[in-house]
Amino acid sequence: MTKLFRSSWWFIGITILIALILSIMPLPLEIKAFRPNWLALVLIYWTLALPHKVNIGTAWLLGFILDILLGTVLGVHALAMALVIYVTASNFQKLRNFSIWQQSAILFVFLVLYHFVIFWANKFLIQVSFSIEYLYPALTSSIFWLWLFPVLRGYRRRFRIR
Amino acid sequence: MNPIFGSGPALSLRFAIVFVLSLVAMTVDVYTESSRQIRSTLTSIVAPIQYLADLPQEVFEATAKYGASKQRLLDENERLQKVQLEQSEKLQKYNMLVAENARLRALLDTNIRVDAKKAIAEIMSVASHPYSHNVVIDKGTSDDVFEGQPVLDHEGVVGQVVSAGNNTARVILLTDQTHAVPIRVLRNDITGILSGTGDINLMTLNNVPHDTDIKIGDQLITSGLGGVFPDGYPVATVVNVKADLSKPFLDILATPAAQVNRLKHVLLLWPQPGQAEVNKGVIND
Repeated sequence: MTKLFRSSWWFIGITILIALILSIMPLPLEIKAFRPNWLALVLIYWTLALPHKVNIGTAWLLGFILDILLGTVLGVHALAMALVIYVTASNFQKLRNFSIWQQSAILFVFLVLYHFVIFWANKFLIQVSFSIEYLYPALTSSIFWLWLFPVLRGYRRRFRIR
Repeated sequence: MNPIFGSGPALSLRFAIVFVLSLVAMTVDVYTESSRQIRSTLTSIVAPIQYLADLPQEVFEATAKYGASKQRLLDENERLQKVQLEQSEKLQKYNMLVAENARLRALLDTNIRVDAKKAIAEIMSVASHPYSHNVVIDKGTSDDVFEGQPVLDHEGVVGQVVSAGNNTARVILLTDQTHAVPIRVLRNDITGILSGTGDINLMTLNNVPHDTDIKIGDQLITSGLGGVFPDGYPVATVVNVKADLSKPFLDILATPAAQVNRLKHVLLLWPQPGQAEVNKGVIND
């Protein structure tokens, strides 16, 4: 039992590590504003698939690591990530039964919320001004979900991650 | 068999806990000094992820270098030799001017300017977050990097170190919304504070009265007054001056001299204590 527990964390951990790397990898200036929220997408997937494993605590911790990596105020991404996973986890049975297109549309709303939480926290802490550009990643993320969901599902079934 | 419902406390309770944790983290980070130490420790811990994220680009560049044609290398060599020749001519003049400047300063009884220690660092990752313009460099406290250290590129000031881990450090760029640098206009020594706008190509000069003599094309250089950046390094060029009399101050926009959006290598400076003395003298006068 403990062995199985360890190995499934190992497989989940790899996807999360890749998501973290993709979140900070240098990108050309032209497409930088469109970078999807990889970490949020991967965490939402695991929350839907294995809510007893990946949950609010995991999301908060990884959001905190993202804060360190991005050099933003500590706790901002952590809070936003935890909120998105809270909404996902409390509705995971409904979301699981939706078609992938419906999921993608709902994810867009979740990620808009995510970016607004980050914006509000920053507005409160360091006075920034809003630009519609900040919501582009929500759009690209919900498009990438259409590709990421089948890939991660295939990965989970292939390695029997439970 | 896996449980359908997760074990442990209810979701809303878990969320309440992390909500409070987040608020504590934000408050500690923004309002206390101890967060610097915590942040530099955390930066050291996540450094391996930074190195991993930097790896694909490194490999790509190494391959590109390896595959470069002989002709291109010859061309580059020729171009660099030309640049070298031009610069060595300037350097000869510069040496003469430094000596002259030292003599004049000795006559005026002020401190003599000394050259700062320098080191080159490589950019490892660029934080693409719109609220914070910053980059991570591959040098840290083990290379004597310190917080508040000025960072330049070959064209001008890039920013300053905000947190230093063991082998990496984070540099906040001039264009960050929370960053400002004390400057003076090269042409007439008017001083001011130039702050970032969050746009990678624009900065704004704050609180300049309407009758001030600032024109488009004016060079802005560091004034050395803030105690972070040494005196006399290029910062930006004025690109727009708008006088709207309904506002109390001029709207002045400037673009950074450094190529902030295409950095690969940066120069770290260790300002000498003598330079700070010069600055103090200026303030007291």
